[in-house]
Amino acid sequence: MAEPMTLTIITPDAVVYDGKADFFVGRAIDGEFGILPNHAPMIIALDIAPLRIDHPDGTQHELAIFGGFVEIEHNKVSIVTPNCELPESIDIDRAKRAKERAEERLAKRTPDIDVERAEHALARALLRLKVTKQM
Amino acid sequence: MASAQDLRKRIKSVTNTQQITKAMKMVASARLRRAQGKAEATRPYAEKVGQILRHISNSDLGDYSSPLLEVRPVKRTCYIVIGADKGLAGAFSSNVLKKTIEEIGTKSSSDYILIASGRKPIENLKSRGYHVNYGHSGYSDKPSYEHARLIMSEALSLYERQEVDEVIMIFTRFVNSMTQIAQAERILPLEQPDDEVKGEEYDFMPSAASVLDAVLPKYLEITVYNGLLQSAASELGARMTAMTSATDNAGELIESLGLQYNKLRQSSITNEISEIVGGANALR
Repeated sequence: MAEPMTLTIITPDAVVYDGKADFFVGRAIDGEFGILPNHAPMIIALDIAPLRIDHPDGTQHELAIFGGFVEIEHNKVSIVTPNCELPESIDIDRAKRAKERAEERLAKRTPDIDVERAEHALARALLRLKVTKQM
Repeated sequence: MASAQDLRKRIKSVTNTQQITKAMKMVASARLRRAQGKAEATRPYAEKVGQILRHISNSDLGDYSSPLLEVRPVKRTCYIVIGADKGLAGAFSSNVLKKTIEEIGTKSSSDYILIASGRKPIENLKSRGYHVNYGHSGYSDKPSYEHARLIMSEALSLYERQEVDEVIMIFTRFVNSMTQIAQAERILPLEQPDDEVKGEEYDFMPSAASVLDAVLPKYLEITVYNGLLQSAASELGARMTAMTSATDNAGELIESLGLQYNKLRQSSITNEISEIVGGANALR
């Protein structure tokens, strides 16, 4: 097997993850993709979606990624994202409430509602529930 | 001349003030360290986003151009003013205000839109007759990325609706705890970074244009976030310096008051002794 790639996840406040990976799957704004080591240089725009990392020791890890980018160069992968959450740190009740609130807003569609913002809120809540296996 | 009792009271009150300023100085310096650490921690993110932007502008975009890069004749300007929530930070707030007034110059209120962050700039600008369109406060010494996103989304929607033709951010750059510089920076329209990065060609997914559309708002958000963090560090630095000198001044004052008090006490003792001696002499 090829040498595992170095994976770094960077958010505005910290470097969240820095380690090796054999494979990772994410969702770009136009669909899912998977990256193996030694990929050609590439920049990918990410959607609000879960990211799965396969570690060299065989374990898997799922994270919530709230948009951002992947940059690949020389077997080094940097994921630059405004926010990234581990399933352990997600408040499930809060995410459920946020989902209900957003759905309610989108269902009513009164003119003073910012539809784009509500859709974003819904996407974030759904992602949180998805990575914590609540749905 | 003040009585001994008055002096004692005065010394006590100045000592109390000194204790307070000393505590504030300590709080500010502890927070400053944290704010500096935070500003440091955003650097990798900012660098990466900048790098991606440069990679894109080096690649072939065809005839695509983002509206955020397009330069329009400036009819209206949006100013983002970043200041403090609280005072007691020396000239920090007044420097931000001065810079803002200098930037606005003689523009009439229909030619600019103000977004102010921090209670001080909101109040100061309002009391000087400027119209503040959006005000945010309550976080000036510990801003989060969310705040930057909120401010930028307001500015961005104004810009996209062509209500303003440029966006200028006024913030205080942190040099060190003694020096902070209030400055204005144009953040929209974005200037294409022109320094060439050599290296290989990148592939873009889904396409260079859509990555560019996604990266530009992120770049702007991190720019504003950096402005907020720099201002927070500057505010705390200015407060620390101001409180250090206040503590020193209180110390000097206590010393000179102590001297005065002792002189007064001694002279009253001398007085008493000479009275006793005088009385004893008269009895003989």
